Amino acid sequence: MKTFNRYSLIFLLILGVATLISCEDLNVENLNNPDTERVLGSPDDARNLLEGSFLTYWQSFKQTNIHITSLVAADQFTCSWGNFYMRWASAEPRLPWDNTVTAANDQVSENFWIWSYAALSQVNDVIRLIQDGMEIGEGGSENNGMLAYGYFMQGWILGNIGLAFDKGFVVKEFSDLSTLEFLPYQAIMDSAVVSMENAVTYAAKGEFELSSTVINGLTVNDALISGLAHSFIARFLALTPRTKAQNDAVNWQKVLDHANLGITEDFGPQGDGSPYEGATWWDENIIYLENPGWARIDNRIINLMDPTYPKNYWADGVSQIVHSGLNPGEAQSDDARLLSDFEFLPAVDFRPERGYWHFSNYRLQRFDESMWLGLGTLYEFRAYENELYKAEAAAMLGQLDAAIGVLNNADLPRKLRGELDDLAAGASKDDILKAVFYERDIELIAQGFLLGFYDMRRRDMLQPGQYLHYPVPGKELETLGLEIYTFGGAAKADGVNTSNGGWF
Amino acid sequence: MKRTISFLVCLLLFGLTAIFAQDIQIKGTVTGADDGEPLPGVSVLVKGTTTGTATTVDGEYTLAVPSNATLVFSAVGYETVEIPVAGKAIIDVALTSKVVGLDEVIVAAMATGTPRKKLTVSVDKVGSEELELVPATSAASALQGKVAGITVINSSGNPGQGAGLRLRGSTQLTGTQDPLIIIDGVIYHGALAAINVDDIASYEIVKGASASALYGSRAGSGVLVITSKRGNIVSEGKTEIRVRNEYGFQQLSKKIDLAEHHPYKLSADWESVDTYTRYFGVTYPSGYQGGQSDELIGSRQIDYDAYMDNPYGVLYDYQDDVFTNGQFYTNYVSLANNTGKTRIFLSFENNKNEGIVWETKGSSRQNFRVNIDHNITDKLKLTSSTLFRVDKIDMPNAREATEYGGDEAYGGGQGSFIFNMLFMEPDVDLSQKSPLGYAFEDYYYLPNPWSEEIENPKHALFYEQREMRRRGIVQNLSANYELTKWLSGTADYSFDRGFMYFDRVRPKGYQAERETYIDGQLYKFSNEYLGQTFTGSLNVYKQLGIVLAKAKVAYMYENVKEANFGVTGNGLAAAEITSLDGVTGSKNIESWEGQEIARNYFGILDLDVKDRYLVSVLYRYDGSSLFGENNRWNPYYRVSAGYRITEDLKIPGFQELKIRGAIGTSGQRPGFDYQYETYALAQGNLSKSTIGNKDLKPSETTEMEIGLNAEFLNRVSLEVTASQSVTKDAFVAVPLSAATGYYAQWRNAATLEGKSIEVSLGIDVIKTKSVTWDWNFTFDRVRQKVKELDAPPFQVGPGANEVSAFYLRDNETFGMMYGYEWVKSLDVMANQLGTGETIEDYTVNSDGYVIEAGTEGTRAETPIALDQDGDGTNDFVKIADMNADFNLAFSNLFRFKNVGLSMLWHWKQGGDIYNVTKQWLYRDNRHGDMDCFDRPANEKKAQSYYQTLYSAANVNSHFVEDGTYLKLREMSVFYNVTGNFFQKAGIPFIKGLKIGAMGRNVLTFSNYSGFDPEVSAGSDLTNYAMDIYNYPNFRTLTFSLELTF
Repeated sequence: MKTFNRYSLIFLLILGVATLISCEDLNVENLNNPDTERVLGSPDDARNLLEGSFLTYWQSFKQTNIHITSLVAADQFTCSWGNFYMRWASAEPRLPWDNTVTAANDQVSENFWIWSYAALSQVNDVIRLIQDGMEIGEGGSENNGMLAYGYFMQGWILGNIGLAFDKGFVVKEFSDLSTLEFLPYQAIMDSAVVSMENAVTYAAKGEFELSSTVINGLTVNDALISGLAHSFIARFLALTPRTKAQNDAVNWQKVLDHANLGITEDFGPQGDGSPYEGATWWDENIIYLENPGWARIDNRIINLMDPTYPKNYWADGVSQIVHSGLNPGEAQSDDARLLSDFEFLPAVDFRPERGYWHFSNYRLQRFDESMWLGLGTLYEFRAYENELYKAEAAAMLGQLDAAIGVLNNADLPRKLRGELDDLAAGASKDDILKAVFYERDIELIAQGFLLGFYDMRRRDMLQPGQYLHYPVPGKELETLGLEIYTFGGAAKADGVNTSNGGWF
Repeated sequence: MKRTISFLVCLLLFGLTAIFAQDIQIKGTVTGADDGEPLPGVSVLVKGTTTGTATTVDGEYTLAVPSNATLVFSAVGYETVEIPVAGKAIIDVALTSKVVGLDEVIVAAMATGTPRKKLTVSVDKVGSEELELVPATSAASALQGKVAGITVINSSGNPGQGAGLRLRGSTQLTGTQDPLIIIDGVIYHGALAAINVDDIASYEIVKGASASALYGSRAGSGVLVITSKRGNIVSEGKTEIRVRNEYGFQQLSKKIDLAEHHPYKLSADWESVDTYTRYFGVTYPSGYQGGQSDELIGSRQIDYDAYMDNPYGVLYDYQDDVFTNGQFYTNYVSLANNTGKTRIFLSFENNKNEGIVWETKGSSRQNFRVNIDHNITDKLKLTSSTLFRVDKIDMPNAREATEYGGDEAYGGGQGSFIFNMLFMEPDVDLSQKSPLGYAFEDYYYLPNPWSEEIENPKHALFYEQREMRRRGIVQNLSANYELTKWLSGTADYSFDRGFMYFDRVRPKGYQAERETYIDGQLYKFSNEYLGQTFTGSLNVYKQLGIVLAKAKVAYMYENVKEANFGVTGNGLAAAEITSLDGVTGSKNIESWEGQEIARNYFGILDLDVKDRYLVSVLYRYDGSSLFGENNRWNPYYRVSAGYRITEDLKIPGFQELKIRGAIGTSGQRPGFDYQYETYALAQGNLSKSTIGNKDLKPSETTEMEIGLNAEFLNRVSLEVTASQSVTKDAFVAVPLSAATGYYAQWRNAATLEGKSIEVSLGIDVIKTKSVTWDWNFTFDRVRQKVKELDAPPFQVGPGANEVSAFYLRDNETFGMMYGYEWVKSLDVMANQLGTGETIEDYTVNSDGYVIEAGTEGTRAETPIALDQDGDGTNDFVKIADMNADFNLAFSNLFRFKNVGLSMLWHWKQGGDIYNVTKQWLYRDNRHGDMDCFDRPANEKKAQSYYQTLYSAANVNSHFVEDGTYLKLREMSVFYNVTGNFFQKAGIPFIKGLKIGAMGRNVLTFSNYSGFDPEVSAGSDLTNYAMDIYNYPNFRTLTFSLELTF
């Protein structure tokens, strides 16, 4: 019994104490990720969420590759490698866009779609909170600034969706998500313009300045938001057309009016290093469009600068017939940018069996600093683009002198960097527009978002069979239980969703 | 209410233990002579009387008897033994088994240890004798081919990686199907590959949900109970030391057939050089010897016929270069000591598994084990089991899409050394020096002037260091107190503490992905895990007239904490510095932590009526912090019964015939993040991720099984089991419309169905004193399907290259691959003719594909994709099923006197593999299929023909291959020198010597074109049968020498 007492007591004590201690509660907090309640719980956190939406969105379209895919489809760049669908997006004749969920290219449009709406939702949450009475800053002193910035973000995101896709959701701060339906791109663009106008309205209500970390290296204040909103409205109005006919019907006076109120400084965050070395502010598109060994400049672009240079790598480039000769040699141009912005590479390491249409001896070297080091400005909207909207709108409105004035402005890149001769005083509307689009192709190349694609589209110049916009990604359609559809391919060349035009 | 229940149970456990006490006069332990395992339920009778008892779960008994009595020990399946008491106070007995098969004792899944003959559910056991024939390289793959109904996939040969496991059908829609693993009573979370096999006394495989119901919400995928050896493997008063050394080498079993010809036009003087291939269309600088050069002008051109039949100027075989013969060795020593009151088992294992990749050292592992059992008093017994594990893996270059994590991080994947090795054109000198100005002179990273994508595999293998170090302690401390002869209490504390550290150094000057790491980069990642459980139970073991009642009520508390921490540092101050202090550039930091608390209550009652009617009932109630806030508790149950017919009915030739049936439930717990609404945080920035779900429940698998066990002709044992399971509320990250801003929500949105048939057959073909020959067959056939999916159909698959080929939707086989199909008959073609076409416009080519008539052998020859609905897009159809038709394994052990020979053959019939490696080899003109050099003229195909089949990397039927194989998985020949020999030789302290030769993964017969048909990728290794540039499985051949003292 003695033994029992000693050992059994120890045993029972351990058993009992451990049992009682271990009867604890089953609630465990997630310490890794905040939930909505926490994120939207305080004005400070709400502000952080809204301010962070720029980065969320920036990463959504600079680190997805729809930009690269579209620029090879627009024959600004070319590539035989399959990454981001480049090989097929630039194949001749043009192929249908594979919109199935298993397609190798599905993420090209899908990521952009998903991430755009994720950022939009983040923006809308905070706008709604403020509109419902949340006060940011003492007594709501920062509300107007926040709303100006919020509506700018809302408009920007919606506008880019309307430009890239045939249809989409218009989600705003008070949208009922359960009754959302797809709206055609025109309606999305209209709605994006309204958001931008709201941004202008709130920016006009007083001075504000956001933290310099919101857009790396930029001071975001009421003046910037106002200018940007006007410039973006000009861009949206000008780039929405899917065809030349629609382009001619644009309200160019409105474009001109907004461009006149637009930005005067380049807009874009400063890169903060290489993505492979942990940077936050970077542009993957630049890396793949410029890097030797990846994409090259399409011969169409070199031919613009040197009209004697072959537009296609070989005249019989489509047929894959074996040719003789080594390469077309170096181009010659009056435009100084041929040498400063582009590099001649004597060998082509592309795969010939994938089609000579991919071949090119030039690459873009203009943004090598951004590509190698991840530094420099990552241009989203150049002041020059705004100037070119003025010139284009003026030309379209018959104000030819005003348009020529922009192009011959010695402080602007056509003269300053390109060192080109002045456009003659009596230049025709067509000559002026040709010069405008030349500048857009050469000076604005690889900047902004899909500009080269939209410019080809609104001139009926995309190759026959080229889709004019992206279908709603298959994954979204699958989620909604809708049938998957697509555009592109010679059989669908209707001039509505698929190009029936061309440039050569 | 929950708190009240737990309080009452706590009180009950605390209070009851104080009530009983009992005296004894004679005691002892009954063990099995074969394995030294304690035998519970052995009848101990005083001869000629009805006085007696039965042994406890630990094989122990106590009995008051007259001093001149004789005890009779009898048990089903064992020879009966009579021993006179003759005044002894302790009588330990080792019983010899009668026939093969069903007599082993199973400790898992029931209230207490139960002879297999009396089991009412499916639990298989693999004992040490079987394991020691060819000790597996780790605990992960030891069960391959040994048990019916278990799928063990070594998705790659990378040492230290481990295997994917699945018991019967899948019970999860995505993620691993691994069973719950319990080692010596500890729920084990670490890698099985970190654990040695020499120490393992047995595996018990608790296969279905009904058998595993005892383990509740963690056991939906079954349970693997691993028991290590203990001091009782030697008899009382004895000490045994076992020393085993094994040494051998490892080699690639099979190379992939790669193209040795290309489609490019050669220059007229191509034969004038032999260090590179001189192409037409290219101007070479003078003195050019091959390799990268800025001075090359022009481009290669496809030859007129576009056949890949043009020779290279020089031909290398990188598979010979990159795969080497690695070493394998094991040093093992164990000590078992039994003083009666105290039993000790100590062991140490040192294992080196070098693998077969150039410049990588593979894994090295040390295991230390200390198992101590001590009887403090006759009633109070303490048991301690401790394993210290340490291992280190030097891994080859890998994809690492998501930094550390995922199996591809072990070596393989896009951009890895193996990808580069396979896709590099074969005329490139990998030992090429770097141009001037590069930090590293050797193995220039871009040696092929015609590809900027494929990098030198040797550059990464030579310069990049990737090392994983793991260590852990697995410990169980248990105290058992015998309250009365029939009632005992057990308190059990166990913990599994694991630490993993991953370190990747890209030294200053290292190049990959085009010069992006030239300043050097460090990546360090650690994971720490602590899982603790406390279990208190009361155990009943009582003969009530004709009924033997065994029962257990228990409370189990679990507390699991896990944390990750990772840092990437860019730019190194100096070449040799690998400390984060030496980082000059940016540092990115990531961390994660999670915790789980669970409380579980369970009770089980097993009744054995007259040794023939067997019934088991259990109920379990689990609460876990992983369940959504509104569904924190979930019940589980099981009812099972068996009837031993031969106890009532003598059937000629049959020694045993039992039928059994069971129905029960168990389940899976959600992942840590599933219930929470989350905003993703990246570099301090917030973005929406998943919507929370407070209603999330555990998934629940209900399984019914029926089985039959038989022994007949005194030499055959047979077990047949059929089971059917339904898993409800399986977790699905249901994709949401982008408009919501969230990516997905975890919901209980799927029902999975599984059916399986398992057969085990053991035959003692020859059973004489000097010759024995045992055959064992295992057969299984598993079917699984998604019965319902309460979400839009979607595709899953391994993440690498975004290959999601498995389509999940209502009423679809789980593991069915979808993709594009090619038209293979004119009848099918007739349904998709274009306007104005007739079937005469088409023909079937030498590969069996329909093509346009007249195009065969030309560049225009193109396989035609199936488009039966004529909508202009390829039809999305079923192309393959990865489920095997069946598995059949045959193991046999032949002994002639002291010589033994064992073999384990495994035949997997059917089960498709999607060969992504092959598809991408097509992309790069590297696959042997494309090489037309030796082909008859009428079978030559243009390179473009194969590019059509490559199909932009889209999943298509051309790359589906039959995964059927026949493998000689294990083989050994050994010779035993007995103690008698050494006694005669004057060295009596040596009790035995065993020398042997053994092979693992010895031979594979298969039509599969890749390295090895045992291949998979991603998170669900047992289902994602895809070949995505894996580190190949290889062959290991060794010699072993074992001495016993």
